[in-house]
This record gives sequence, C-alpha cells and structure tokens, in this order.
Amino acid sequence: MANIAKVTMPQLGESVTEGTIGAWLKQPGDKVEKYESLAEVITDKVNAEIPSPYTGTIKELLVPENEPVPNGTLICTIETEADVSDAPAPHAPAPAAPAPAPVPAPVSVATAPASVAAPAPAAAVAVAAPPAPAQSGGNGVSAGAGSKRLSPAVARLLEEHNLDLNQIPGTGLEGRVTKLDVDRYLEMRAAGTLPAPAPAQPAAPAPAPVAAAPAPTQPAPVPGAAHAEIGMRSPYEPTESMPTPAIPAPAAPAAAPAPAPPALPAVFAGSGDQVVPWTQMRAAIAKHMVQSVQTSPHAWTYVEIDMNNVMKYRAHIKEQFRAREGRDPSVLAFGIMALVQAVRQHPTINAAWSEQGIVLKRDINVGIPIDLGDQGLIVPVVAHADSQSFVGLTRTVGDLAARARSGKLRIDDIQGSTVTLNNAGTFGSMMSFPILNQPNVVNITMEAIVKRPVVIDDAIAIRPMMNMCCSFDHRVLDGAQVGRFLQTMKHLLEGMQDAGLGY
Amino acid sequence: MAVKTLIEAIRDGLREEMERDERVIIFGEDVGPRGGVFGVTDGFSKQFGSERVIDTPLAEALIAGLAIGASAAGMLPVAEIQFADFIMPAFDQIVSEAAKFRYRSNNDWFLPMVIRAPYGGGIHGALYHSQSVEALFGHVPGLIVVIPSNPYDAKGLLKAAIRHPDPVLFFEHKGAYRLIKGDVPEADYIVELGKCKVSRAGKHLTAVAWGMMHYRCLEAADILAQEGVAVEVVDVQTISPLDRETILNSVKKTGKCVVVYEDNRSGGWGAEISASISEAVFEYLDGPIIRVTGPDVPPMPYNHEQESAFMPNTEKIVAAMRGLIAY
Amino acid sequence: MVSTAKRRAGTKEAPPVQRLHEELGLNAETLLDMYYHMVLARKLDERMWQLNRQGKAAFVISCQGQEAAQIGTAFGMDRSKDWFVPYYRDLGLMLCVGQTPRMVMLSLFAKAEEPNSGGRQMPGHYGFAKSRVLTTGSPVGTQFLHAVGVGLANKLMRHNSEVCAVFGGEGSTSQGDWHEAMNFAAIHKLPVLFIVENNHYAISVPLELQVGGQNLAGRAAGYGMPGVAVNGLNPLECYKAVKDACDRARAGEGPTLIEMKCIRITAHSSDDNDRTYRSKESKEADRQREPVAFFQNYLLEHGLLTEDADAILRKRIDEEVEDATDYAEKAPAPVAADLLLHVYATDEEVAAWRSKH
Repeated sequence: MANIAKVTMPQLGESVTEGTIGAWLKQPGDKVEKYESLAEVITDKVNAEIPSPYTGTIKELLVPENEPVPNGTLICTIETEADVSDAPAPHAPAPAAPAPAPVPAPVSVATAPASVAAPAPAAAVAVAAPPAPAQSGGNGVSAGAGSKRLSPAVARLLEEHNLDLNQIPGTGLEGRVTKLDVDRYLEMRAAGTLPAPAPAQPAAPAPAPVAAAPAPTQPAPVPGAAHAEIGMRSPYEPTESMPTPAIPAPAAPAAAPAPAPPALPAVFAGSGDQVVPWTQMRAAIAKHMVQSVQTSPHAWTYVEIDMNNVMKYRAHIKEQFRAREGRDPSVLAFGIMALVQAVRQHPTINAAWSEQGIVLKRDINVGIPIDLGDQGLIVPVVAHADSQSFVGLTRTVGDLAARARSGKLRIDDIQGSTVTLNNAGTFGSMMSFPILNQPNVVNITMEAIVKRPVVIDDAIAIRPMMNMCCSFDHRVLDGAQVGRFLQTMKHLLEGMQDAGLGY
Repeated sequence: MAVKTLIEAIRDGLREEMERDERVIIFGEDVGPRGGVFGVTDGFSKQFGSERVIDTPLAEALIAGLAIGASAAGMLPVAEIQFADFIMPAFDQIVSEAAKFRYRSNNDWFLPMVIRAPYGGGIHGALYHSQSVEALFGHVPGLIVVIPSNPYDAKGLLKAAIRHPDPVLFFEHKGAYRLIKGDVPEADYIVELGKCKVSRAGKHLTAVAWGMMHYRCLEAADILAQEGVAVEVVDVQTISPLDRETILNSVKKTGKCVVVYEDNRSGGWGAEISASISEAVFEYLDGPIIRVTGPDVPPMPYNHEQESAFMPNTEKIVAAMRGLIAY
Repeated sequence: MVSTAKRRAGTKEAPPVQRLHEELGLNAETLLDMYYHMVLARKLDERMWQLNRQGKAAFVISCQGQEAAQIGTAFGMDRSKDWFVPYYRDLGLMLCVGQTPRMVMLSLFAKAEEPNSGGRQMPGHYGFAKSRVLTTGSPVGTQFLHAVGVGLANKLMRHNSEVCAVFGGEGSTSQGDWHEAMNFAAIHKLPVLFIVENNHYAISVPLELQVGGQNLAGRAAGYGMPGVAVNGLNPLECYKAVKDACDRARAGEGPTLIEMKCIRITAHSSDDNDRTYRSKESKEADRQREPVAFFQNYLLEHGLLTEDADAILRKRIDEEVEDATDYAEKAPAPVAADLLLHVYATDEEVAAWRSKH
C-alpha cells in the first residue's frame, strides 16, 4: 500500500534556523532511493545535499528554489511503498518549535511538596513538568500550613502602617494576604472607601473568615480566575486592554465612613451540626461579593418586556437553525444583540469607575454568569460582542457555557468583562437583585419568560412576558439613566423582527 | 537602522573594532579562512590578513595564555574558544592567571583581552556543545563575564569589552545567534559593562535572566500580560561583577522574583542572585524567590526528548510565574 | 649557530673557561658587574634563610645554584627594552633588571611598598612592570604561554625588535602549557627564548623521573626550533647562548630553547626537607662546583679581580643586605582595607585607559 511520506527542511548546523533550497535535484514523478540526494540546501553555515529519507517517487515539491524557509518546513512529499508512519523523523524538530511537554507531573497545591523547600532529587524538581494552567498554584510554591503565613513584605507593611492582618482580605494562595492586597487596602483606606474597622472583638472567638479555612483540597485556580469566577476584579489588571486602575475610589474621598456595623453573633457548630469545608471557589465568592457590595453603592430597577416577537421569530427559525448550527437559537443571544445596540446609545452603561474619572469602554465584552451547581458560578466573557452576528453569539454562548461546566475555560475567557448580562430566568426566577460583577457598573438579568395577560391597545392579550432587572453602581449611574437604557432594551426586544439570518 | 541577527551584530562589532584599532587581533580555532565554525569571523581573514586573524593550533590553554601575553604587551586580543564546553583546558589560564593579573601585581599589570565563546543548549549539541559555564567564571573576581541577550546590546557590549582594560569573557548563546533579531544602528556606540537592564517594566513580579533565557522570559511576560500580570524583566547582561542594585530595586518594587537560568540548578549564577536578594531586601519579599533552571545532571543529552526536558522554556517559566503570582 | 650535539658534548668535560670573556667581547667592568650581582643574589638569599629560621619570614624560595644562569641570561639580553617572564627562583635575574636589595627584603616581609605585588604574593612571585617583567603566579608552567603572547605582540607591533625570555625549571616542561607554547612560538617564529634552568629536582622528583630521555634541549628539534644545552654554572656560557638566540630572534628567525644545567644548593623551599630524598654526598658534590665560587675563581685566575677587591666588594654587599633588612623590617605593612583594591579597574581607570588610545 502506497504511503505519502513528508520531508522537512533539516537543521543544518547548530544555531541555524532556516535553509534555502539552492536546487531541486529531483522532480515530481522521479524515482528516488533512500539516501539519494533530493536537493541542494544552503544555510548560513553549510551548503549540503539532503539525502532522501525514503525510497519512492517524488510526489510534490512544496518549496521553490532560492527562498529561505524555517527549519522543519515541509519541503516535499514522497510516495513510498512501505508504511512510513512509524519511521523516525529524519531530523529532530527545529529548536524554535515548542517542545512537547514532558509527562505532566501532577503538582496540585495540596499534593506537591514545595520544591523550594523539599530536598527532593534536584533533577526531578527542575524537570517537573510545567503544570497545566489550572494547576498553576503548584510549581513549588506553597503558602504552607496555615494561611496566616506572612511574607516579609507584608509583615513590614503591617508594621509600618500599624495594620491588623485580619482586616485585610487576602487573595493569595490559600487566602494569604499578599503585598498587593495590603497596597490596595492602603489605597482604599486613603481614599476613604474602606468599611470602618470592626469594633471591639466579640467575646466569643469568631472564626476569622480566611485564616480559619481548612486547607483546600482543590487545586488553586489560575490567578485572577477566582475573582473572575464570581465576577470580581482581579488585582492583576491586564496592562493593555484594561487601563482602568485597580482601585476604584469615590469622587469625594472625604466622605464620612459608613457607620460601623454591629458585631455579629458568633456561629458555633453544635453536636449534630455538619461543617462543610469551604471550597476555594466558595471562599473567593464570599470574599468578592462582600468586596463588591462594600465598593459600589448598589441600586436596582426593572422593566417588563413583551417577548412575543422574539419568541415567534425564534420558533420560526428554530428548525432550520438547529439543522444548520446544531443547536437551538439562544434567547440570551437575542439579549446580547439588543444589549450591544442599547449600549451604543447609552455608553455609560458599558463603563467603569476609576480615579481619573468614568472610563467609557470601547470594546463591548459581555460577562455571562454560568451556574456550576454546588461549586458556585463563573462569569465567562463574550468578547467583542459588538462584532459578532447572531449565529456567532449563539455559538459563543453555547461554547462558553459548555466549557465552563467542563472546567475548560481559558484565562482569556474570563477576563475583560465590560457589562454583565445574566440569564437568571433559566431557574424560573421572576426578579433578582444581582450584585455587581466588578468593575462593571451594571448587572442585568433576563428573568423567566412567562405567558401573562397584558393590556395592549385597551384589549387584554396573552403575551410571553419577561422582567429585565438591573443592579447598577450609583457612583456612575442614576436611576433615570438606567431607566432610559432599559427602555431602549425593551424597545429593541419588543420590536425584534429578525436577527439578520435571512431565513 | 537595520534589523540584524545576534551573530551579525557581533560580527559587525568585531569588524568595526578591528577597523578602528590596529591592536585588535583575533585568534582561535578555525577563525581564519573558515570564519569560525559559526561564522562570526566570516570574511575577516580576507579583510585583515592572516597576521591579525590567526588560526591557532587545537589548544585552548594556548588561546587563553596567548591573549594574556599579547594584551600585557599592548595588543587588544579577542580570542575565540570554539565552544564554551571546551574552555576547561584554558580554565587555569583564565582563572589562575588572567583573573589575577591586576590584583596580584597591585595594579601594575592589567589585561585588556576578550575571550568569546558560544554557550548554551537546546540545539542538539549534546553533552559537549550545550553547556552554560557562566557560573564557573562568575565566581572568580577579576573576570568580567558578559552574556548579551539581543543584537543591539551584543554589539555595544562587545565594543565595550574590547575597550576595557580587564579580561572579559563574552559568552554568546549559539541558539540565539540566528534566532534573535533586532535593530542595530550603524553608528559607533558602546553599552557599558557591569550594568543590568530593565528590559520590560512591570509591577507584579520580577524575572531575572540573561542570554537566551532572557528572551524566553520576555515571551513568558507577554503571556502573563494577557492574564493581567505585569512582569518586570531584568536582563543581567554582565554576569560578573553583578549589578545587584538594579535587581534589588526591581524586587523591592514587585516583591516577587523568578530567576531563570539554563545551567544546572545547584550553584548556578541565579543562586547567587537569589541569595543576594534575600540578604538585601528580605523585608520586601512577598513570596519565595523561585528558580527555573536546568536539572542537576551532567549536561543535556543529545536525544530530543531528554534535551527538551532539560531546557527551561517559556512554558516552564510561565508556570513558575503563575505559581508565584498565585502565592 | 653551535649545534646542540656539539654544545652538549662540551658540557661533559671541564668547563671551557679559557678566556671566554675575550671571545665574547666582555670588558672587566661588565664582568665585575655580573659578579657583583651573583654575590648579591647569593648573600640576599642566605640572609632570607636566616630570617626564616629566626621566625621573621614565613617563606623563602631560593636561587642558590642558579645565579650564573640567571645573570648570564640577563646580561645577554637588552635590558633596556626586552621582556621577561620569570619564575619563582629568578632572584638573580630580578636584581639585574632593576630590583634593589631593599625591594627584595620588602617582598620577603610582604610590606606595602614591595614592588611585585604590594605584599599580596609570596616571596619569589615577581612582577615589575617598569622593566617589562610580567607578573607571575604559583601555577607551574603557565608563564610559557604568556611569553608567547608577548612574543606575538613583539612580532606584530615591534617587528621583533624586542625579545621575550621566559624562565622555568625542568619540572615545568612537563606541563601541557610548555608544549603548547613551544609549538605556537615555532609555528609563528616568535622572538621568544625558552630558558630552562635545569636544577635536576622538582621539589623531590629527580630529572630521571621528570624528563623521558633527560635531553631537554633535544626536544626543541621536534618543535621545529633550535635547542641548546649549556653549562648553567658558567655565566659566560649562558650569556653567549642567550646572545646568539637574541640575535636570531631579532632577525625574525624565531624562538630558541636553551637548557641551562644548574644545581640546587638548598632544599626546594624553607618548608622542604631535602634530606628525605637527597644524600649528603650529592649535596656536597654540588657545593664543590657551585657557580658563585666558580666565577670568583675565573675572575681571580684571569686577573680581573684581586683578593682585596673581592673583600671590599663583599663587605659592600654585606652592608647593602644589612641596610635592606633593616629598612624592610621597619617598613609599614599594607593596610587591611586595601585588600579590596585592584580587583578591577575603577571607572576612572577605565576612562583614563580609554583616553590614552
């Protein structure tokens, strides 16, 4: 059985990255013996003839003469008699090509002994495969037992600024308070945006939220992921696409601090009670929800939307769409289409608070919270939603949801949200009061679509109605602005005729 | 400005120095009509003649000793050791003699000489064409050890080395020779020895590296930037004497540091950097100083699988950075 | 050029002393100057041993038995421009190229103004830039390659007008560096003199365990350069061989190997006990033919020196040695903090050096 064997540009000489075919010595159709010269190759270091790795007939010459190509480029194919699939490659891959990763060693936080500390055989330590992104908490770094561990930098800052460690939310490994956390805390304190410190410690030993967390058994998420999962801002702001400073500060730093909350009663697990250890995600959600509420003054409003046109249109295209795309047209995608148009008319919706002022984002990246069952939730991002068609949006939404549930989201998938649209109706919810996904200034929900009697032109009609709720950051937006925006959303969805599909 | 490869920039620098000053001579194995096994001195023999571009016998101690004597007597020799792996026969001359000339003569004698040698692996060079030797010589006071990471600095550093009155070991990563390209001005310029360079600014983490590993750190920093992590990259450039200040200032700012080197882990030059950081700016550290290195095995094997497992690469660096960021 | 074979044959007989100085054109003044340096070297060396045995000097390494070779060589060269790469026994040579008894004693006591190294190196580790004497270290044999480098510079920059002499014992010829140096010097016909002061012992190892065939001069032929063996106890023979070799070198004819057959009167160093490997008889035999007495007799026999003049000269030298010892003992030691100086050129030194070119 004939096979097609591939010949690539060899690396001729150390440090050489490319080669040029000076002359082909064989033409398609020519017979060639193994080790017979195929071509003259010129590199920076040597001129040489490349011997054929196979016996057979030249099928195609893929690289012209006198044109340099990188090592490893496919230069010709040879039709051979024998099966060559198992034959060793004639030359090792070019050095520039990324090496296949060695067998990935499992280096989860919980199981990997710190290579910095452990006197493991050095070779094993150094060769240890780079952990997959989701396991990047490994690589020899561990906060060690007890997340109370202070780095020297944090210890110094605490002392210099006379701070109480327990007042500072930690975003590091196992909840460790990092230097960046302290820096941010100090900035917030200077800006007057910190909640007032708790009054006298309660008599009963209240468990310190982070410090008392048992060692998690889950691998640490990628940096930023924990924050993104719950719609919170990572301390690591992308440097290029996100010029927004990490620390939102109010316009009037002199604002009086909020009154101190009363001390909470301590919670004890009594006999018969069950203590479920926090997961990493649970702890992060808890922390970031608290932070979001403490950062932004939340306000809320909602409108009712008649989804008759949308639902009719959706039913009309459903079969054809499913046949073409292999999935149903997504209601959320209709919502995103409307949102993109509405945001263009109301740019302050797609914005963020910063010390310099309100940042109106150019890109429209829609965060869509996805439920992960008992684990919690995560907010993948439909990036550049304004540049996608309805089909594209449906695919993106479906793909993100699927990957979120199978744990295969990439870093890029969960970053850069500029506005949040939440399909809360999936669970039959009629109204919700979402907490802002920082630094987004609105979190909009699409509630359950329920057929209800409504008055239209003084007649009673039955229509599929949907509530659209919107939490907003009152630092940036006022009720009237949000009301106008929601009216635009309502108008767009109610007037939806088609989604540009042409069928 | 023209875009040049690392090797072209080195060649240009050498040629310009030879044109500028008659006292500059080159010798080593195959540097004459062959132009060196990597082609650094390609065309030199023709341009400058066999008196100034000398093919030596196969004797590395000779090459180093000759440079010592010639520079003591007024020349500016630039010697080439064909591969850094083969510098060991010259170790006595370099370490016992060249490094100590100024000190042991109480400043009466000094040696304006340069020894160039290609180093580094990942190029299927196996045990004896892959080694990194900077730590062996970085340990020796009296030697200046330079490893350029890009064409611009390579040319400027080489010119500075030739115009320096102390012995300079100039190690060039052979994998980078034709891989790393960059703008190189035509004008005469030097890049001063003894300075680290912040080649990329960032506030979350400091990466310290040199030569090829510096290039890999820049690649890793690009990836981390997409994750919102701003990595500051310090190009060590001069291994010894080490500009600790630049490194320490960066770590003081970021609180976290990854040191990357291709050499064996234990006692590699990054170990010295790591120790210097923890001694001087301990109270600024917000995490352990992490090293990404080759393993403690004799040099890297020939076969692709084990060679690539030996080499620190962008992937390994990114993983270490993520781990430290998450700390 | 006198052939190696013929010269070697000559050394087996009684030294051919018959009015050799006249054949060489050396006047009485020069001969007495050579003699003065030989006696001075010997007396300084003996004083150093005394100071060591008194516990005042930690270490001594000697030139005794090799004064004729060193001083004959120095006088055969042009000390106003030639280059020298000595080894640790070359006290006699150093006295001929500008080092004074005070400098020698300062070096013994490692005092601050000691010229070789500012007190950083052991005695005998010479270096004297103003007379083009390269700094030297302790590894044996490395210096041959430095001399070849100097030779290369002298050929390329100075058209062979300046010659470089490099010195070592027969033990150092076992090093690879010696071979590499000989080979390169011959390939490029460099103006270099390889002076081997063969004192027949490398610490305790005798010539027959050091050199296969024991014919060092004969090895030169294999490298493609002339090799001569001379009686290293007669300064005039050494002078002649060096002068001939310098003439060849300056004419562009390349290097010469000169083996000077010497004796070692002392143990290897003040830390060595040569009774463990040398017989009393062997040492006594060497003393009977030692070079300072030999040259004294030569000068007396040929009416170039009288007993009275000799006594006056020796008294003058004793005073110089006394003065040097006193001076050096009282001289200030180096400052501890200066330990850190001169590892590298300072920025100012770099700038100054660059501006000179």
